[in-house]
Amino acid sequence: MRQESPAAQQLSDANVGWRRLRNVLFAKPSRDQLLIAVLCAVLGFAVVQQVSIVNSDEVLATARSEDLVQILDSLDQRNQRLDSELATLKDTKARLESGQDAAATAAKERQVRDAELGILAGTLAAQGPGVVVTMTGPVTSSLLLDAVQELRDAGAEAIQINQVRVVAQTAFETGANDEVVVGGVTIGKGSGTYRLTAIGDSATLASSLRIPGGVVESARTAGVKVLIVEKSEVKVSAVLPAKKAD
Amino acid sequence: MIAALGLIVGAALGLFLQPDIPLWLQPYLPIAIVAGLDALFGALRALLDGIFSDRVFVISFVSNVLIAALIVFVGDQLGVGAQLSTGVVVVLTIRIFANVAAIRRKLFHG
Repeated sequence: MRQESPAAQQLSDANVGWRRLRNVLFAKPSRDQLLIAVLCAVLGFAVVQQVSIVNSDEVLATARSEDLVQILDSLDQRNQRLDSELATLKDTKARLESGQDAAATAAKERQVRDAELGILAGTLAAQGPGVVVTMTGPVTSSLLLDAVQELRDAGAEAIQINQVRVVAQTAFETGANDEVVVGGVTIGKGSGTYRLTAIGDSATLASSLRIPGGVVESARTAGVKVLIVEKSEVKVSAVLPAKKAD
Repeated sequence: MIAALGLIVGAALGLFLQPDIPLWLQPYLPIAIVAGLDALFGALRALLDGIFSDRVFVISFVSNVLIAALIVFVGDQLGVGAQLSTGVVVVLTIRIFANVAAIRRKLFHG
């Protein structure tokens, strides 16, 4: 549709070109020119429309189907990629969370066991229901050991004699001059007052000492006065130094 | 003069009216625009050559747009619409460059 002819070569003067342009610009409007103007208006209209379509979100609405398929394809692939990434991250999250839970549970359990073992090993003070046994007279270490064994059998969790904590390894000895030595500490010699404090079910502890032929009877035979007081709250405050684990 | 005015008026109408272009027409709009631009530059060149004719311009404009749209339409039916519209745009763009070069020579190089 290019409008050209051999005549174009003959009119190659720049002034001619400008003059023609000027002539057209200031020509009187005619019916034919009106038609041209209408076509130009349509063109301008279309350009503005297209630009507004491209700038709007409706690009997809004007795309042809194969382009849409391609776009959909790439979106699908992207979706899959993101899905697998999401799965991986969820996995990691679950792992981290369960790990955290396990660590927290382990820490809590450790604390509980720490407390239990601390009381058993005598490195922690303890308090709770229990009995206070006061023996007055010629107490021997074997009498104290009997009492302690009886209390242990009755379920005593923590026992203290005077200011000495009694644990599994505590030795009861009689010194060269009949001293009473408990756990390496001399707590008395001959007649004197000894105080046993034991934590556990107070009624059970008390009756375990009072059974016929038990500690109380044999103590009386030996001339020792025994006073048992059941209390809802006693304190075992003596502690042993904690040993480092081997 | 009146043609330039028409261009401006059309653009203004498009800006202010914002009508909905029918969906079936939308794929052909960009191609039609490029074809129209080609006709416009061809007309400008003919004008400077002194051989401009209103009738030729109108026919050239309309047929340019129609043929371009037709090619793309056929391409869409054959499943090669994207490639054919690219081809149409390339050809029309080459023509526009050639016309603009001719116009430039007329106006500035004598």
